[in-house]
Amino acid sequence: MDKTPLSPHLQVYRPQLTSVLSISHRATGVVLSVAGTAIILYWLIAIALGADTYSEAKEILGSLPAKIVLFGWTGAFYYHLLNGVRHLLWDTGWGLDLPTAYKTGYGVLIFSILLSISTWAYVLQKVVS
Amino acid sequence: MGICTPKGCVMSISFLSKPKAANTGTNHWWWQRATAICLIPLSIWFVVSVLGHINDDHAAASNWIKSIPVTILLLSFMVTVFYHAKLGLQVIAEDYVHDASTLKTILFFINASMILGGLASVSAIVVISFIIP
Repeated sequence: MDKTPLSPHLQVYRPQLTSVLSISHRATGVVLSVAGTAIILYWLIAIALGADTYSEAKEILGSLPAKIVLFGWTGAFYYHLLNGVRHLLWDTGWGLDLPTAYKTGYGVLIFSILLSISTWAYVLQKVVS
Repeated sequence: MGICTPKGCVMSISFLSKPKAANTGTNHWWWQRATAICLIPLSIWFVVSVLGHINDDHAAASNWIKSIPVTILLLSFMVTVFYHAKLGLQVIAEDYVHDASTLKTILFFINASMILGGLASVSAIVVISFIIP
């Protein structure tokens, strides 16, 4: 069997904001790559196939469960976007010290919630009017 | 051949240390950042405007996509997002999958599905913009 030493097992560490945000960046990345693109493809292909297919897709995507999924998609998107910017800033060497990493970490969480809510406030207000 | 240590060669992790890997690694890192920067404006535009069209009927949705700026932005977004997704999924697989042949299989499926997804979205946009009335 392969006995190459691996990095320490993550389970021995107490979860911290920094480590949870780090793994969430990957988790949201996978979700957006797989489920996010699948939803976009479904929508685009339904339009390409014509009015009948589109109205079926619209009914499914406009239903309440789908709206909840889409809200989650928006949340994952804003989280990955803001945390991605945080990563790009780290690449320049900025914000790597622990106090700043915590501040930007909380900032990413708060702003991804605020942006998701305001995006959906805009969407729902547009649908109603 | 390669730059692996004798132990590394014996333990058949030598595929990780072929001289070529150094170059492709930098390339991968660079493209992941380049696509990320492009996606900052593109993805905000995409998410906000697509959700804004959630209640459109077929004519309104296809007319929106048919406008030339939207066609261009949509195509740019889809190509960039699928390439960014391929690079991201690849780095995750390389970090967590330690068996060389399993890794190769997973990388094959990542590449195949992201290429297919990219082609499907591009062709759907082309159909909407130029083919359907």
